[in-house]
Amino acid sequence: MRNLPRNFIDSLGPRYESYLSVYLHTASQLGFSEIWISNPTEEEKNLITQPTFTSLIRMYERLDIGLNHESKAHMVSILRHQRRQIPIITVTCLTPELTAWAAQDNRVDILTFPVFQIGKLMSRSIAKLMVKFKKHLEIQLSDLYSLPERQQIPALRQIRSALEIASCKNVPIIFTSGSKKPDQMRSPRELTSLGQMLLMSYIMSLDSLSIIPQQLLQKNLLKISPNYIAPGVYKIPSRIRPSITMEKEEEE
Amino acid sequence: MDERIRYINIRFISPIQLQEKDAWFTVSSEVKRLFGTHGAAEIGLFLSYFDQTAQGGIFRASHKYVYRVRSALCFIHSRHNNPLFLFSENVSGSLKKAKKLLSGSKHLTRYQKLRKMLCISWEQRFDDD
Repeated sequence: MRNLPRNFIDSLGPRYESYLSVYLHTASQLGFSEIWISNPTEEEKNLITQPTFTSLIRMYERLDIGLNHESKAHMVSILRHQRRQIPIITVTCLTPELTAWAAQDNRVDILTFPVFQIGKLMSRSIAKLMVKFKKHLEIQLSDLYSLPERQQIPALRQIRSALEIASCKNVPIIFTSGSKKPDQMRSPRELTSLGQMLLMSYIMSLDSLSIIPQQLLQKNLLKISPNYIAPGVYKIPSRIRPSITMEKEEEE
Repeated sequence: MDERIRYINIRFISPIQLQEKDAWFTVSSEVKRLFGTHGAAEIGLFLSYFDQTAQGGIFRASHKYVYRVRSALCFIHSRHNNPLFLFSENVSGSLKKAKKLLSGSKHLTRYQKLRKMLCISWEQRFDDD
């Protein structure tokens, strides 16, 4: 039996070039069906609502904090303002204190680490906290393959050790390209192969690019929808019963 | 279990036209850098066919190590100081089918669209520099 086609999801990192349409067209041609755009500008927000792009690929906004070495107080204030407005919230953890806080904060969905510190910061205790508070670990693979040759060896080692801990403690892993330029994007099958190379199995790697991010997004979209009341409590939209509509049609 | 052969279609996008030997050296040197001589021998990489007009090559590899070839493609960015973008289109069990897919209109259209998009970004970067 053939496997069902998967919906692959990618995430764009902070972009150096202003051509968002180039990113979107490239991602669509490479085989991605959804894309998360981190910290979009007002111009980009207007662009992604245009039907030419919405018909091409599904786009979602994503909040990335901690990239510019912000203080914890500043991060908390950003979270207070942006909560329930953006479906995906990611924290880039640069220190052990910040990692411990982000792993326990309910507003945060994904934790990501700088490639040369991931082995040090992603400890077993952090992994336990991440499982307890339902956090995802994100590995941005462009950080690995865009590095100069000499730096790839320690980076590969750090990522492997972090993935070993994460898979041992059952932390959900998300693989994204996190590309900053359009030519840093890679097709989903290549990212899967790279994930498979980094210790994991083929199926786990495929899930990290498709099912796991999709489930997180769907859960969060439900949370930010107006029908959400409390965890487990939702407003069901009223529907017209099909029998009534059929009767009306017959009368006409 | 016996080793089986897989044919991987790899498309090359660059501002310059690549020759057959460029395609072979780009992929094989990256595979060797990433997995070493022993790893490369296990993969059994071989360039079976190269279409210069479509800028696509069919690489032969062991079915167990297709993922290694594909992951090596991620690490390739340039060739002779020219930007280079590689992507694998599909994996096939026979050379005949791989050739058919390489010259298929669906894949060619996708390649042309991607090439157009990437050339825009490269031109923009050259202008910035």
